[in-house]
Amino acid sequence: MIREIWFEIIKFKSQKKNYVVIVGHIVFLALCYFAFKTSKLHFLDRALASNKFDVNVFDYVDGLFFARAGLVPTFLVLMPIFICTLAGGVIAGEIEQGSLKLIASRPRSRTNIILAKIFAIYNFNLIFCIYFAVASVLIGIALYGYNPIQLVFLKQFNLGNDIALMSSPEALLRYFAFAFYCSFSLMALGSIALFFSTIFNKSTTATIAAITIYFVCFIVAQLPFATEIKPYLLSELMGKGFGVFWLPDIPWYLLAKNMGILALYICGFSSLSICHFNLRDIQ
Amino acid sequence: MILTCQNLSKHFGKKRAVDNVSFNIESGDILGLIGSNGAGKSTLLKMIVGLIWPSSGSVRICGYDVYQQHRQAMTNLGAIIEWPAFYDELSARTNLKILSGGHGKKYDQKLAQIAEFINIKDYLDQKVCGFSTGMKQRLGIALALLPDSKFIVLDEPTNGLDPAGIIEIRSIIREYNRQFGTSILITSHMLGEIETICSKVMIINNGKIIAAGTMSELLENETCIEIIPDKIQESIHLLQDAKEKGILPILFIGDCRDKLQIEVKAPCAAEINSLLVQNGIMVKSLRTKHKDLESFFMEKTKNKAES
Repeated sequence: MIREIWFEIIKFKSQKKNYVVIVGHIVFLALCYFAFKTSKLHFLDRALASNKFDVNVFDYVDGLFFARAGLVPTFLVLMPIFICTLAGGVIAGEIEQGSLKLIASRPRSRTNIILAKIFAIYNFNLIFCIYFAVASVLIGIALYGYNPIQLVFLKQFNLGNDIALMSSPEALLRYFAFAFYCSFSLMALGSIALFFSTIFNKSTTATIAAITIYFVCFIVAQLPFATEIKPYLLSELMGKGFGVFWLPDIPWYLLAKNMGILALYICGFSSLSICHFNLRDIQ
Repeated sequence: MILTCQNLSKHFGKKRAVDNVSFNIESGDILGLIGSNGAGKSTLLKMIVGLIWPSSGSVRICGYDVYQQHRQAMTNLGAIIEWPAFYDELSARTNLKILSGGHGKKYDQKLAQIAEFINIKDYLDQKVCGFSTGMKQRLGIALALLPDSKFIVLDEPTNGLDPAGIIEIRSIIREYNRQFGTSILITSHMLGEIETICSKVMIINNGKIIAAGTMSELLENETCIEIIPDKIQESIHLLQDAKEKGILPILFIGDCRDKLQIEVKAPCAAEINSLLVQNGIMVKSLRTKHKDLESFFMEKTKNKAES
Protein backbone atom coordinates (compact mmCIF):
# COMPACT_ATOMS: atom_id res chain seq x y z
CA MET A 1 0.00 0.00 0.00
CA ILE A 2 2.83 2.43 0.84
CA ARG A 3 4.32 1.82 -2.60
CA GLU A 4 0.93 2.50 -4.21
CA ILE A 5 0.60 5.76 -2.27
CA TRP A 6 4.09 6.75 -3.35
CA PHE A 7 3.20 6.05 -7.00
CA GLU A 8 0.15 8.29 -6.66
CA ILE A 9 2.28 11.08 -5.20
CA ILE A 10 4.74 10.72 -8.11
CA LYS A 11 1.79 11.13 -10.48
CA PHE A 12 0.57 14.25 -8.64
CA LYS A 13 4.07 15.66 -8.69
CA SER A 14 4.30 15.24 -12.44
CA GLN A 15 1.06 17.13 -13.14
CA LYS A 16 1.78 20.78 -13.86
CA LYS A 17 -1.83 21.82 -13.11
CA ASN A 18 -1.20 21.06 -9.44
CA TYR A 19 1.33 23.86 -9.22
CA VAL A 20 -1.02 26.53 -10.51
CA VAL A 21 -2.24 27.02 -6.95
CA ILE A 22 1.31 27.99 -5.86
CA VAL A 23 1.33 30.69 -8.50
CA GLY A 24 -2.12 31.74 -7.28
CA HIS A 25 -0.82 31.96 -3.72
CA ILE A 26 2.21 34.04 -4.69
CA VAL A 27 0.02 36.40 -6.71
CA PHE A 28 -2.35 36.62 -3.75
CA LEU A 29 0.47 37.47 -1.32
CA ALA A 30 1.89 40.02 -3.75
CA LEU A 31 -1.53 41.69 -4.09
CA CYS A 32 -1.94 41.64 -0.28
CA TYR A 33 1.44 43.30 0.05
CA PHE A 34 0.56 46.06 -2.41
CA ALA A 35 -2.85 46.47 -0.79
CA PHE A 36 -1.18 46.87 2.63
CA LYS A 37 1.26 49.32 1.19
CA THR A 38 -1.15 51.46 -0.81
CA SER A 39 -3.79 51.61 1.94
CA LYS A 40 -1.05 52.52 4.42
CA LEU A 41 -2.92 50.26 6.81
CA HIS A 42 -5.84 52.70 6.99
CA PHE A 43 -8.14 49.82 7.77
CA LEU A 44 -6.51 49.74 11.20
CA ASP A 45 -7.36 53.42 11.77
CA ARG A 46 -10.88 52.45 12.61
CA ALA A 47 -9.62 50.21 15.36
CA LEU A 48 -7.59 53.07 16.73
CA ALA A 49 -10.35 55.63 16.29
CA SER A 50 -12.83 53.51 18.18
CA ASN A 51 -10.48 53.95 21.13
CA LYS A 52 -11.57 50.55 22.20
CA PHE A 53 -8.11 49.12 22.52
CA ASP A 54 -5.46 50.57 24.76
CA VAL A 55 -2.70 49.39 22.43
CA ASN A 56 -1.24 50.94 19.30
CA VAL A 57 -2.18 48.32 16.72
CA PHE A 58 0.39 49.65 14.23
CA ASP A 59 3.15 48.41 16.53
CA TYR A 60 2.00 44.85 16.04
CA VAL A 61 1.97 44.72 12.28
CA ASP A 62 4.66 42.16 11.44
CA GLY A 63 5.26 39.09 9.29
CA LEU A 64 2.97 36.81 11.25
CA PHE A 65 0.22 39.45 11.19
CA PHE A 66 0.58 39.61 7.40
CA ALA A 67 0.53 35.79 7.16
CA ARG A 68 -2.64 35.59 9.28
CA ALA A 69 -4.35 38.19 7.13
CA GLY A 70 -3.90 35.94 4.10
CA LEU A 71 -4.74 32.73 5.87
CA VAL A 72 -8.54 32.68 5.71
CA PRO A 73 -8.83 33.51 1.97
CA THR A 74 -6.06 31.02 1.17
CA PHE A 75 -7.58 28.17 3.10
CA LEU A 76 -11.23 28.95 2.43
CA VAL A 77 -11.02 29.77 -1.29
CA LEU A 78 -7.70 28.87 -2.89
CA MET A 79 -7.14 25.51 -1.20
CA PRO A 80 -10.74 24.22 -1.67
CA ILE A 81 -10.41 24.88 -5.41
CA PHE A 82 -7.06 23.11 -5.39
CA ILE A 83 -8.32 20.08 -3.48
CA CYS A 84 -11.38 19.77 -5.74
CA THR A 85 -9.14 19.85 -8.81
CA LEU A 86 -6.75 17.32 -7.31
CA ALA A 87 -9.32 14.83 -6.00
CA GLY A 88 -11.74 15.40 -8.88
CA GLY A 89 -9.08 14.25 -11.31
CA VAL A 90 -7.81 11.12 -9.61
CA ILE A 91 -10.27 8.68 -11.13
CA ALA A 92 -12.09 10.70 -13.79
CA GLY A 93 -8.78 12.13 -15.03
CA GLU A 94 -7.31 8.67 -15.39
CA ILE A 95 -10.45 7.47 -17.17
CA GLU A 96 -10.13 10.42 -19.57
CA GLN A 97 -6.47 9.71 -20.13
CA GLY A 98 -7.00 5.95 -20.45
CA SER A 99 -4.43 4.94 -17.83
CA LEU A 100 -7.05 3.58 -15.43
CA LYS A 101 -7.59 0.60 -17.74
CA LEU A 102 -3.93 -0.31 -17.39
CA ILE A 103 -3.97 0.15 -13.61
CA ALA A 104 -7.19 -1.78 -13.03
CA SER A 105 -6.11 -4.73 -15.15
CA ARG A 106 -3.20 -5.43 -12.81
CA PRO A 107 -3.41 -7.59 -9.67
CA ARG A 108 -4.70 -4.84 -7.41
CA SER A 109 -8.14 -4.59 -5.90
CA ARG A 110 -10.18 -1.52 -6.76
CA THR A 111 -10.54 -0.80 -3.04
CA ASN A 112 -6.75 -0.60 -2.78
CA ILE A 113 -6.59 1.72 -5.78
CA ILE A 114 -9.04 4.12 -4.12
CA LEU A 115 -7.42 3.88 -0.67
CA ALA A 116 -3.99 4.64 -2.16
CA LYS A 117 -5.49 7.66 -3.88
CA ILE A 118 -7.20 8.90 -0.71
CA PHE A 119 -3.96 8.71 1.31
CA ALA A 120 -2.00 10.31 -1.51
CA ILE A 121 -4.52 13.17 -1.73
CA TYR A 122 -4.23 13.71 2.01
CA ASN A 123 -0.42 13.69 1.90
CA PHE A 124 -0.27 16.08 -1.02
CA ASN A 125 -2.88 18.33 0.56
CA LEU A 126 -0.96 18.35 3.85
CA ILE A 127 2.28 19.20 2.06
CA PHE A 128 0.55 22.12 0.31
CA CYS A 129 -1.07 23.36 3.53
CA ILE A 130 2.29 23.34 5.31
CA TYR A 131 3.91 24.98 2.31
CA PHE A 132 1.33 27.78 2.24
CA ALA A 133 1.60 28.32 5.98
CA VAL A 134 5.41 28.40 5.95
CA ALA A 135 5.66 30.46 2.75
CA SER A 136 3.19 33.05 4.08
CA VAL A 137 5.13 33.41 7.34
CA LEU A 138 8.52 33.59 5.66
CA ILE A 139 7.40 36.10 3.05
CA GLY A 140 5.61 38.08 5.78
CA ILE A 141 8.72 38.16 8.00
CA ALA A 142 10.87 39.15 5.01
CA LEU A 143 8.53 42.05 4.26
CA TYR A 144 7.45 43.18 7.74
CA GLY A 145 9.89 41.70 10.22
CA TYR A 146 9.12 39.82 13.42
CA ASN A 147 7.45 41.01 16.63
CA PRO A 148 7.65 38.96 19.86
CA ILE A 149 4.06 39.88 20.78
CA GLN A 150 1.15 39.18 18.47
CA LEU A 151 -2.11 41.04 18.24
CA VAL A 152 -4.98 39.06 16.79
CA PHE A 153 -8.18 40.75 15.61
CA LEU A 154 -10.81 38.18 16.47
CA LYS A 155 -13.28 39.85 14.13
CA GLN A 156 -11.29 38.47 11.23
CA PHE A 157 -12.24 35.00 12.43
CA ASN A 158 -15.87 35.87 13.22
CA LEU A 159 -15.16 35.75 16.95
CA GLY A 160 -16.47 39.20 17.95
CA ASN A 161 -14.90 42.64 17.95
CA ASP A 162 -12.24 41.97 20.53
CA ILE A 163 -8.51 41.47 20.16
CA ALA A 164 -6.18 38.91 21.69
CA LEU A 165 -2.58 39.40 22.64
CA MET A 166 -0.26 36.45 22.77
CA SER A 167 3.41 35.65 22.51
CA SER A 168 4.72 34.98 19.00
CA PRO A 169 5.70 31.30 19.67
CA GLU A 170 2.16 30.65 20.94
CA ALA A 171 0.65 32.43 17.94
CA LEU A 172 2.93 30.47 15.64
CA LEU A 173 1.90 27.19 17.28
CA ARG A 174 -1.77 28.09 16.87
CA TYR A 175 -1.11 29.17 13.31
CA PHE A 176 0.34 25.76 12.38
CA ALA A 177 -2.33 23.89 14.34
CA PHE A 178 -4.72 25.89 12.19
CA ALA A 179 -2.93 24.68 9.02
CA PHE A 180 -3.20 21.04 10.15
CA TYR A 181 -6.89 21.46 10.94
CA CYS A 182 -7.27 23.01 7.53
CA SER A 183 -5.63 20.04 5.79
CA PHE A 184 -8.00 17.71 7.66
CA SER A 185 -11.10 19.76 6.88
CA LEU A 186 -10.09 20.07 3.23
CA MET A 187 -9.95 16.28 3.08
CA ALA A 188 -13.71 16.23 3.69
CA LEU A 189 -14.13 18.29 0.55
CA GLY A 190 -11.52 16.10 -1.15
CA SER A 191 -13.52 12.96 -0.41
CA ILE A 192 -16.63 14.56 -1.95
CA ALA A 193 -14.60 15.42 -5.06
CA LEU A 194 -13.24 11.86 -5.12
CA PHE A 195 -16.76 10.48 -4.99
CA PHE A 196 -17.73 12.64 -7.98
CA SER A 197 -14.56 11.50 -9.68
CA THR A 198 -15.78 7.90 -9.50
CA ILE A 199 -19.14 8.92 -10.97
CA PHE A 200 -18.12 11.14 -13.87
CA ASN A 201 -15.81 10.33 -16.75
CA LYS A 202 -14.44 13.86 -16.99
CA SER A 203 -12.28 15.45 -14.33
CA THR A 204 -13.65 18.95 -14.98
CA THR A 205 -17.20 17.74 -14.31
CA ALA A 206 -16.14 16.10 -11.05
CA THR A 207 -14.21 19.21 -9.98
CA ILE A 208 -17.05 21.58 -10.80
CA ALA A 209 -19.56 19.34 -9.01
CA ALA A 210 -17.44 19.36 -5.82
CA ILE A 211 -16.82 23.12 -5.95
CA THR A 212 -20.55 23.65 -6.47
CA ILE A 213 -21.35 21.57 -3.37
CA TYR A 214 -18.86 23.63 -1.36
CA PHE A 215 -20.28 26.97 -2.45
CA VAL A 216 -23.85 25.76 -2.04
CA CYS A 217 -22.99 24.95 1.59
CA PHE A 218 -21.48 28.42 1.87
CA ILE A 219 -24.64 30.08 0.56
CA VAL A 220 -27.01 27.94 2.62
CA ALA A 221 -25.03 28.82 5.77
CA GLN A 222 -25.87 32.51 5.16
CA LEU A 223 -29.63 31.88 5.06
CA PRO A 224 -31.45 33.05 8.21
CA PHE A 225 -33.60 29.90 8.40
CA ALA A 226 -30.65 27.50 8.15
CA THR A 227 -29.62 27.81 11.79
CA GLU A 228 -30.32 24.17 12.65
CA ILE A 229 -28.32 22.64 9.82
CA LYS A 230 -25.63 25.33 9.76
CA PRO A 231 -23.23 23.64 12.24
CA TYR A 232 -23.16 20.53 10.05
CA LEU A 233 -22.49 22.25 6.74
CA LEU A 234 -19.06 21.63 5.29
CA SER A 235 -18.15 25.27 4.68
CA GLU A 236 -19.22 26.14 8.20
CA LEU A 237 -17.18 23.33 9.76
CA MET A 238 -14.15 24.52 7.85
CA GLY A 239 -14.65 28.22 8.65
CA LYS A 240 -15.64 27.81 12.31
CA GLY A 241 -12.73 25.53 12.98
CA PHE A 242 -10.38 28.21 11.81
CA GLY A 243 -11.66 30.70 14.32
CA VAL A 244 -11.52 28.68 17.51
CA PHE A 245 -7.74 28.40 17.38
CA TRP A 246 -7.45 32.12 18.18
CA LEU A 247 -9.60 32.22 21.30
CA PRO A 248 -7.59 32.73 24.51
CA ASP A 249 -8.93 29.36 25.72
CA ILE A 250 -9.35 26.94 22.85
CA PRO A 251 -12.74 25.15 23.15
CA TRP A 252 -11.43 21.63 22.67
CA TYR A 253 -14.86 20.07 22.88
CA LEU A 254 -16.13 22.15 19.97
CA LEU A 255 -12.98 21.43 18.00
CA ALA A 256 -13.29 17.68 18.62
CA LYS A 257 -16.97 17.82 17.62
CA ASN A 258 -16.13 19.63 14.38
CA MET A 259 -13.38 17.18 13.59
CA GLY A 260 -15.70 14.28 14.36
CA ILE A 261 -18.28 15.58 11.87
CA LEU A 262 -15.54 16.18 9.30
CA ALA A 263 -14.31 12.60 9.89
CA LEU A 264 -17.84 11.39 9.20
CA TYR A 265 -17.83 13.32 5.91
CA ILE A 266 -14.45 11.80 5.01
CA CYS A 267 -15.42 8.23 5.93
CA GLY A 268 -18.88 8.49 4.39
CA PHE A 269 -17.81 9.85 1.02
CA SER A 270 -14.69 7.67 0.87
CA SER A 271 -16.85 4.58 1.49
CA LEU A 272 -19.29 5.70 -1.19
CA SER A 273 -16.35 6.20 -3.57
CA ILE A 274 -15.04 2.70 -2.84
CA CYS A 275 -18.48 1.12 -3.32
CA HIS A 276 -19.22 2.99 -6.52
CA PHE A 277 -15.76 2.37 -7.98
CA ASN A 278 -16.02 -1.34 -7.22
CA LEU A 279 -19.37 -1.59 -8.95
CA ARG A 280 -18.77 0.56 -12.00
CA ASP A 281 -17.57 -0.55 -15.42
CA ILE A 282 -14.34 0.99 -16.62
CA GLN A 283 -15.00 1.82 -20.25
CA MET B 1 -6.75 -24.20 -20.06
CA ILE B 2 -5.40 -20.65 -19.86
CA LEU B 3 -8.67 -18.81 -20.45
CA THR B 4 -12.20 -20.10 -20.08
CA CYS B 5 -15.16 -17.88 -20.89
CA GLN B 6 -18.54 -19.41 -20.16
CA ASN B 7 -21.88 -18.00 -21.28
CA LEU B 8 -20.53 -14.48 -21.07
CA SER B 9 -23.10 -11.76 -21.69
CA LYS B 10 -23.16 -8.02 -21.24
CA HIS B 11 -26.17 -5.81 -21.69
CA PHE B 12 -26.07 -2.03 -21.76
CA GLY B 13 -29.71 -1.23 -21.18
CA LYS B 14 -31.55 -3.04 -23.96
CA LYS B 15 -28.46 -3.40 -26.12
CA ARG B 16 -26.72 -6.78 -25.96
CA ALA B 17 -23.06 -5.95 -26.49
CA VAL B 18 -21.94 -9.52 -25.86
CA ASP B 19 -24.43 -12.34 -26.07
CA ASN B 20 -23.78 -15.71 -24.44
CA VAL B 21 -20.19 -16.12 -25.58
CA SER B 22 -18.23 -19.24 -24.61
CA PHE B 23 -14.70 -20.10 -25.69
CA ASN B 24 -11.36 -21.35 -24.38
CA ILE B 25 -7.73 -20.54 -25.01
CA GLU B 26 -5.21 -23.28 -24.51
CA SER B 27 -1.62 -22.90 -23.44
CA GLY B 28 0.59 -21.56 -26.24
CA ASP B 29 -2.31 -20.51 -28.50
CA ILE B 30 -2.42 -17.19 -30.30
CA LEU B 31 -6.10 -16.41 -30.81
CA GLY B 32 -7.15 -13.61 -33.11
CA LEU B 33 -10.45 -11.95 -32.29
CA ILE B 34 -11.94 -10.12 -35.22
CA GLY B 35 -15.13 -8.22 -35.75
CA SER B 36 -16.42 -4.98 -37.19
CA ASN B 37 -16.70 -1.80 -35.12
CA GLY B 38 -19.33 -2.23 -32.42
CA ALA B 39 -19.33 -6.02 -32.79
CA GLY B 40 -18.50 -6.47 -29.09
CA LYS B 41 -14.72 -7.09 -29.23
CA SER B 42 -13.68 -4.40 -26.76
CA THR B 43 -16.51 -5.23 -24.35
CA LEU B 44 -15.47 -8.89 -24.45
CA LEU B 45 -11.83 -8.01 -23.82
CA LYS B 46 -12.75 -5.65 -20.99
CA MET B 47 -14.77 -8.40 -19.35
CA ILE B 48 -11.81 -10.77 -19.68
CA VAL B 49 -9.45 -8.32 -17.94
CA GLY B 50 -12.01 -7.44 -15.25
CA LEU B 51 -12.74 -3.86 -16.28
CA ILE B 52 -16.41 -4.52 -17.07
CA TRP B 53 -18.76 -6.60 -14.96
CA PRO B 54 -20.58 -9.21 -17.02
CA SER B 55 -24.38 -9.34 -16.89
CA SER B 56 -24.02 -13.11 -16.71
CA GLY B 57 -21.43 -15.81 -17.19
CA SER B 58 -17.89 -16.26 -15.94
CA VAL B 59 -14.27 -15.73 -16.99
CA ARG B 60 -11.45 -17.82 -15.57
CA ILE B 61 -7.76 -17.17 -16.17
CA CYS B 62 -5.53 -20.13 -15.24
CA GLY B 63 -8.45 -21.49 -13.22
CA TYR B 64 -9.02 -18.28 -11.22
CA ASP B 65 -12.29 -16.43 -11.54
CA VAL B 66 -11.59 -12.88 -12.75
CA TYR B 67 -14.29 -11.38 -10.50
CA GLN B 68 -14.12 -13.60 -7.41
CA GLN B 69 -10.33 -14.12 -7.39
CA HIS B 70 -9.30 -10.93 -9.18
CA ARG B 71 -5.79 -10.67 -7.75
CA GLN B 72 -4.78 -14.28 -8.53
CA ALA B 73 -6.34 -14.13 -12.00
CA MET B 74 -4.66 -10.83 -12.87
CA THR B 75 -1.26 -12.11 -11.70
CA ASN B 76 -1.34 -14.40 -14.72
CA LEU B 77 -2.43 -11.70 -17.16
CA GLY B 78 -0.71 -8.91 -19.06
CA ALA B 79 -3.01 -6.65 -21.03
CA ILE B 80 -3.15 -3.61 -23.23
CA ILE B 81 -6.72 -2.53 -23.86
CA GLU B 82 -7.29 -0.01 -26.62
CA TRP B 83 -4.70 2.73 -26.83
CA PRO B 84 -1.95 2.41 -24.18
CA ALA B 85 -2.09 5.66 -22.19
CA PHE B 86 0.94 6.75 -20.23
CA TYR B 87 1.86 9.60 -17.92
CA ASP B 88 3.55 11.93 -20.37
CA GLU B 89 5.65 13.84 -17.89
CA LEU B 90 7.22 10.70 -16.43
CA SER B 91 9.98 8.54 -17.87
CA ALA B 92 9.24 5.23 -19.57
CA ARG B 93 10.86 3.41 -16.63
CA THR B 94 8.67 5.18 -14.03
CA ASN B 95 5.57 4.60 -16.17
CA LEU B 96 6.28 0.88 -16.37
CA LYS B 97 6.92 0.75 -12.64
CA ILE B 98 3.72 2.60 -11.72
CA LEU B 99 1.47 0.82 -14.17
CA SER B 100 2.80 -2.68 -13.63
CA GLY B 101 3.18 -2.24 -9.88
CA GLY B 102 6.50 -4.05 -10.18
CA HIS B 103 9.42 -3.75 -7.77
CA GLY B 104 12.49 -5.57 -6.50
CA LYS B 105 15.43 -7.31 -8.08
CA LYS B 106 13.36 -9.82 -10.03
CA TYR B 107 11.34 -7.00 -11.59
CA ASP B 108 14.50 -5.11 -12.58
CA GLN B 109 15.90 -8.23 -14.24
CA LYS B 110 12.67 -8.85 -16.12
CA LEU B 111 12.52 -5.20 -17.21
CA ALA B 112 16.07 -5.39 -18.55
CA GLN B 113 15.17 -8.59 -20.42
CA ILE B 114 11.97 -7.16 -21.93
CA ALA B 115 13.62 -3.83 -22.78
CA GLU B 116 16.30 -5.72 -24.66
CA PHE B 117 13.74 -7.98 -26.31
CA ILE B 118 11.61 -5.17 -27.72
CA ASN B 119 14.41 -2.72 -28.20
CA ILE B 120 13.45 0.10 -25.84
CA LYS B 121 16.52 -0.15 -23.61
CA ASP B 122 17.94 3.20 -24.69
CA TYR B 123 14.64 5.02 -24.17
CA LEU B 124 13.78 3.85 -20.66
CA ASP B 125 14.91 7.04 -18.95
CA GLN B 126 13.34 9.42 -21.44
CA LYS B 127 10.03 11.19 -20.85
CA VAL B 128 7.12 9.54 -22.64
CA CYS B 129 5.86 12.88 -24.03
CA GLY B 130 8.70 12.79 -26.56
CA PHE B 131 7.87 9.28 -27.79
CA SER B 132 6.57 8.50 -31.27
CA THR B 133 3.37 6.45 -31.73
CA GLY B 134 5.46 3.38 -32.45
CA MET B 135 7.52 3.83 -29.30
CA LYS B 136 4.36 4.21 -27.21
CA GLN B 137 2.95 1.02 -28.70
CA ARG B 138 6.20 -0.75 -27.97
CA LEU B 139 6.12 0.54 -24.41
CA GLY B 140 2.55 -0.75 -24.14
CA ILE B 141 3.68 -4.18 -25.27
CA ALA B 142 6.53 -4.05 -22.76
CA LEU B 143 3.96 -3.33 -20.07
CA ALA B 144 1.89 -6.34 -21.13
CA LEU B 145 4.95 -8.59 -21.19
CA LEU B 146 6.47 -7.32 -17.93
CA PRO B 147 4.54 -9.42 -15.44
CA ASP B 148 5.39 -13.11 -15.62
CA SER B 149 2.09 -13.63 -17.39
CA LYS B 150 0.91 -16.87 -18.85
CA PHE B 151 -1.65 -15.01 -20.89
CA ILE B 152 -1.48 -11.71 -22.74
CA VAL B 153 -4.30 -9.64 -24.20
CA LEU B 154 -3.32 -7.19 -26.92
CA ASP B 155 -6.03 -4.94 -28.32
CA GLU B 156 -4.97 -3.64 -31.72
CA PRO B 157 -1.25 -3.60 -30.93
CA THR B 158 -0.24 -2.30 -34.36
CA ASN B 159 -2.72 0.56 -34.39
CA GLY B 160 -1.14 3.75 -35.71
CA LEU B 161 2.13 2.12 -36.70
CA ASP B 162 3.96 2.46 -40.00
CA PRO B 163 4.59 -0.71 -42.09
CA ALA B 164 8.05 -1.23 -40.58
CA GLY B 165 6.60 -0.87 -37.08
CA ILE B 166 3.83 -3.34 -37.86
CA ILE B 167 6.32 -5.94 -39.07
CA GLU B 168 8.49 -5.38 -35.99
CA ILE B 169 5.62 -5.67 -33.50
CA ARG B 170 4.31 -8.73 -35.32
CA SER B 171 7.66 -10.46 -35.05
CA ILE B 172 7.96 -9.49 -31.36
CA ILE B 173 4.60 -11.11 -30.63
CA ARG B 174 5.42 -14.30 -32.54
CA GLU B 175 8.89 -14.54 -31.07
CA TYR B 176 7.61 -14.01 -27.52
CA ASN B 177 5.01 -16.73 -27.99
CA ARG B 178 7.60 -19.07 -29.47
CA GLN B 179 10.23 -18.45 -26.76
CA PHE B 180 8.04 -18.40 -23.67
CA GLY B 181 4.96 -20.34 -24.78
CA THR B 182 2.71 -17.51 -23.59
CA SER B 183 -0.90 -17.61 -24.79
CA ILE B 184 -2.00 -14.45 -26.57
CA LEU B 185 -5.41 -13.02 -27.39
CA ILE B 186 -5.07 -10.36 -30.03
CA THR B 187 -7.54 -8.13 -31.86
CA SER B 188 -6.91 -6.19 -35.01
CA HIS B 189 -8.78 -4.71 -37.93
CA MET B 190 -5.92 -5.79 -40.16
CA LEU B 191 -7.00 -9.28 -41.11
CA GLY B 192 -3.78 -10.05 -42.94
CA GLU B 193 -1.97 -9.45 -39.69
CA ILE B 194 -4.25 -11.85 -37.79
CA GLU B 195 -3.77 -14.44 -40.51
CA THR B 196 0.00 -14.15 -40.19
CA ILE B 197 0.27 -14.13 -36.41
CA CYS B 198 -2.55 -16.27 -35.07
CA SER B 199 -3.00 -20.00 -34.85
CA LYS B 200 -6.71 -19.68 -34.10
CA VAL B 201 -9.36 -17.16 -35.09
CA MET B 202 -12.69 -16.16 -33.65
CA ILE B 203 -15.16 -13.88 -35.42
CA ILE B 204 -17.61 -11.88 -33.39
CA ASN B 205 -20.60 -10.11 -34.85
CA ASN B 206 -23.42 -8.37 -33.00
CA GLY B 207 -22.05 -9.75 -29.74
CA LYS B 208 -22.13 -13.38 -30.88
CA ILE B 209 -19.37 -15.68 -32.05
CA ILE B 210 -20.16 -16.64 -35.61
CA ALA B 211 -17.03 -18.62 -36.43
CA ALA B 212 -14.16 -20.04 -34.45
CA GLY B 213 -11.37 -22.51 -35.02
CA THR B 214 -7.83 -22.94 -36.22
CA MET B 215 -6.88 -21.06 -39.35
CA SER B 216 -6.73 -24.32 -41.33
CA GLU B 217 -10.10 -25.52 -40.04
CA LEU B 218 -11.75 -22.29 -41.09
CA LEU B 219 -10.02 -21.55 -44.35
CA GLU B 220 -8.90 -24.90 -45.80
CA ASN B 221 -12.35 -26.42 -45.60
CA GLU B 222 -13.57 -23.87 -48.01
CA THR B 223 -11.21 -24.09 -50.94
CA CYS B 224 -11.35 -22.77 -54.43
CA ILE B 225 -9.90 -24.85 -57.30
CA GLU B 226 -8.92 -23.12 -60.50
CA ILE B 227 -8.71 -25.33 -63.64
CA ILE B 228 -7.87 -24.65 -67.25
CA PRO B 229 -9.28 -27.60 -69.28
CA ASP B 230 -9.14 -27.90 -73.09
CA LYS B 231 -12.92 -28.51 -73.35
CA ILE B 232 -14.63 -26.07 -71.06
CA GLN B 233 -18.33 -26.89 -71.69
CA GLU B 234 -17.80 -30.65 -71.37
CA SER B 235 -15.91 -30.10 -68.14
CA ILE B 236 -18.78 -28.03 -66.71
CA HIS B 237 -21.32 -30.77 -67.59
CA LEU B 238 -19.17 -33.47 -66.01
CA LEU B 239 -18.56 -31.52 -62.79
CA GLN B 240 -22.20 -30.44 -62.54
CA ASP B 241 -23.22 -34.07 -62.87
CA ALA B 242 -20.73 -35.12 -60.16
CA LYS B 243 -22.04 -32.35 -57.89
CA GLU B 244 -25.69 -33.37 -58.33
CA LYS B 245 -24.94 -37.02 -57.74
CA GLY B 246 -22.91 -36.11 -54.65
CA ILE B 247 -19.78 -37.79 -55.99
CA LEU B 248 -17.69 -34.67 -55.37
CA PRO B 249 -18.12 -32.06 -52.54
CA ILE B 250 -18.60 -29.19 -54.98
CA LEU B 251 -20.36 -26.04 -53.84
CA PHE B 252 -20.22 -23.83 -56.90
CA ILE B 253 -18.89 -23.95 -60.47
CA GLY B 254 -18.08 -20.73 -62.24
CA ASP B 255 -16.48 -20.16 -65.64
CA CYS B 256 -14.42 -17.25 -66.67
CA ARG B 257 -13.20 -17.33 -70.29
CA ASP B 258 -11.01 -20.46 -70.47
CA LYS B 259 -10.90 -20.97 -66.70
CA LEU B 260 -13.16 -22.84 -64.28
CA GLN B 261 -13.43 -21.74 -60.67
CA ILE B 262 -14.81 -24.43 -58.42
CA GLU B 263 -15.64 -23.85 -54.77
CA VAL B 264 -15.47 -27.02 -52.74
CA LYS B 265 -16.43 -28.01 -49.20
CA ALA B 266 -13.46 -30.37 -48.72
CA PRO B 267 -10.13 -30.89 -50.47
CA CYS B 268 -10.83 -32.88 -53.73
CA ALA B 269 -8.43 -31.52 -56.37
CA ALA B 270 -7.05 -34.97 -57.20
CA GLU B 271 -10.57 -36.45 -57.68
CA ILE B 272 -11.60 -33.62 -60.00
CA ASN B 273 -8.42 -34.04 -62.01
CA SER B 274 -8.90 -37.79 -62.46
CA LEU B 275 -12.61 -37.38 -63.35
CA LEU B 276 -11.74 -34.98 -66.16
CA VAL B 277 -8.78 -37.00 -67.43
CA GLN B 278 -10.77 -40.29 -67.40
CA ASN B 279 -13.38 -38.59 -69.60
CA GLY B 280 -10.80 -37.53 -72.16
CA ILE B 281 -10.39 -33.93 -71.09
CA MET B 282 -6.90 -32.59 -70.90
CA VAL B 283 -6.19 -30.47 -67.81
CA LYS B 284 -3.73 -27.75 -68.80
CA SER B 285 -3.50 -26.25 -65.33
CA LEU B 286 -4.90 -26.98 -61.85
CA ARG B 287 -4.37 -24.71 -58.88
CA THR B 288 -5.77 -24.93 -55.36
CA LYS B 289 -6.46 -21.59 -53.71
CA HIS B 290 -7.40 -21.28 -50.04
CA LYS B 291 -9.82 -18.60 -49.15
CA ASP B 292 -8.10 -15.76 -47.26
CA LEU B 293 -9.30 -14.49 -43.92
CA GLU B 294 -10.56 -11.28 -45.43
CA SER B 295 -12.98 -12.92 -47.82
CA PHE B 296 -13.96 -15.47 -45.16
CA PHE B 297 -14.71 -12.66 -42.70
CA MET B 298 -16.66 -10.65 -45.25
CA GLU B 299 -18.70 -13.67 -46.25
CA LYS B 300 -19.48 -14.64 -42.65
CA THR B 301 -20.46 -11.16 -41.48
CA LYS B 302 -22.46 -10.54 -44.67
CA ASN B 303 -24.34 -13.81 -44.26
CA LYS B 304 -25.17 -12.93 -40.67
CA ALA B 305 -26.31 -9.46 -41.63
CA GLU B 306 -28.57 -10.90 -44.34
CA SER B 307 -30.05 -13.56 -42.05
